Amino acid sequence: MPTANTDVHHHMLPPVYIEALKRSGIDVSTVPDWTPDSSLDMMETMSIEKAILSVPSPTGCDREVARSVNAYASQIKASHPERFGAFACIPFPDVKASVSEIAYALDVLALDGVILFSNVGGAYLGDPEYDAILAELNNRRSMVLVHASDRPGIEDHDGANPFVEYPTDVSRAFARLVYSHAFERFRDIRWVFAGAGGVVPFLAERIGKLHYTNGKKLRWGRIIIDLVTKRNSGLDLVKSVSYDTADIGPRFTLFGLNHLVDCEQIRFGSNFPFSDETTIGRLIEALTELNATPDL
Amino acid sequence: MFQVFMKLKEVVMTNRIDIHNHLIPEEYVSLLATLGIKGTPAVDFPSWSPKKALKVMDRNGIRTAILSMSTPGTYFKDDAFSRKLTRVTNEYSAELISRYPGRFGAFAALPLPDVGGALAEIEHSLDTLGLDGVGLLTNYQGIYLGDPRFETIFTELDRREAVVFVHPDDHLVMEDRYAILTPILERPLETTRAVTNLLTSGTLARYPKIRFILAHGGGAVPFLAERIAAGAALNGTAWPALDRSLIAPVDIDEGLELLRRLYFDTAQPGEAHLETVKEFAGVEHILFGTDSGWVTPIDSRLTTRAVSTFNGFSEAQHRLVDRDNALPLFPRFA
Repeated sequence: MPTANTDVHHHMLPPVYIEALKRSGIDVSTVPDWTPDSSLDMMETMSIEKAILSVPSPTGCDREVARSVNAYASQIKASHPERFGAFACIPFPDVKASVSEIAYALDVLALDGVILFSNVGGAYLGDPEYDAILAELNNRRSMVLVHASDRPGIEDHDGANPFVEYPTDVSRAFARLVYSHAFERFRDIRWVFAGAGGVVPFLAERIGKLHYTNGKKLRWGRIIIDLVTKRNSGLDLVKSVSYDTADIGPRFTLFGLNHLVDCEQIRFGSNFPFSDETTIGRLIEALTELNATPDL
Repeated sequence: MFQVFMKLKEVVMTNRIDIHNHLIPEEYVSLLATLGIKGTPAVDFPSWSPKKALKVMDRNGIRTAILSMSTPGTYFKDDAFSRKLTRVTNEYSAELISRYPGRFGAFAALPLPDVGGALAEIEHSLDTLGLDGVGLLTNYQGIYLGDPRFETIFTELDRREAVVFVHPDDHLVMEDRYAILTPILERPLETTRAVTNLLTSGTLARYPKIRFILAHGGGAVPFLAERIAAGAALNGTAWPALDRSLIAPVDIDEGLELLRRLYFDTAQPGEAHLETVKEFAGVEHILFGTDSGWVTPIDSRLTTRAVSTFNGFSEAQHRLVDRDNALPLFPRFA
């Protein structure tokens, strides 16, 4: 079995998070059972050295829940320092509480980065009112995993939301980050976009065009520089970040992703415990063929 | 200097067939003006004329453009108004086809969700006017193409082995804050959504004789195909709360095969994009398309240039994409 060194997209479902789901009115009967041991078992079977744990959704993650989840993650890290890392959960879109939780989780608990969701209740990552949060992450050169989230107001008319709407919401956040020039303003953040960024590699040139607009105006300076230097700096931005492999198609999605970025920018992500071992195994095989199983 | 770059390494063609080219008839615009409608919620109708269209075509080596209506489509106010608006549009397409021989073909617009009106229009536009196929939008007032209410439409299109061009409408959930994200991101997602609906509803499996062409390289269908096929296969069991009559479970491989039978245009070109479409559906299923009419002449030029300089196609493959792949679908241009 080939090895996948670090799994950057690996979910934990600690009791405090499950309780928060219940309080938010979520039916937890469909949520998979999870313990640190179930992760370790899967990692053993799949020869994964280390998993960076994160919660799978922002549901119920207010200030107190985020604090408890992060404390829990820090304990697991302490008991298995070689096997687990963790991305902190923050109470987005509450800017003040998010900023202080980033400081606590990264400075005091020494977690490995932060998981941010594409939108929380319609508040999108990349919207300028959350700049202070990105600035805080930028100051710490933090790793940020951008994870999909449900977009409010989209009706699930044929059960397709989990496989069309959910992944593509990452692309909505991505597009806003290009549009608000966040990649350029917060260039020390180490971005990882979940699930190949949804559809970002496929629409790379299209999304890159947002780089040439500023509000309603075109950024002619940028356009002229690109014409003269024969570059496509919008596309370069899209190519400058990393993407994980959670839930992606091992043939066509990975093929397209690998045409956009180098292997070093493709991070292994399993989406455990929401993906089964057959799916994860197939993904690891495809990645091994690409020689794309890099470390953090 | 811009012009110099434009000519670099470009495969020169003079007989391209552009299967994604929009018309905006004057009479359509003036009929809608009586309702106070001046365009989509985001942009006004651009000024369009056959002369302008031909000029863009000539600049881009396009011999023939297959015209179609983009969003906001031809359904407004009520059935009677919409039937008239659609008829006027299709008659105008037919007029252009005969006025400029060899230069234009057309996909018929349909007044959906008025199914009776649409069936009558299929008959009139294909049998009487001799149009080349049918242009569908991804949803009609929130009703997606795989909806059982549209079943008779697809039965009829399958019986006729019709060529059907699927083009995005604006989704009901619009980008209110950043209008620019609607064309950039939401429209391709809308095509993805509609094709997923055609698969999960079993429409693609039930009507194998329809030749579907998807705008903008299928939105994101080739890139997400495995996930869509896996989701469609799961659908029968994983979401029992849904109306089961909508769901036709297919296994993953069958789903992928159904998606790979579709045709994909080039009106959204990018390196990774074209490579993925090619890997997914094969060069034979890629058709040249520019989205001219609604986009600016510069955009049409850039699209043509991106396709013609794409080095993932051999010279022979460029000819297939530019023209030859379209000939079996539009035999009168052979």
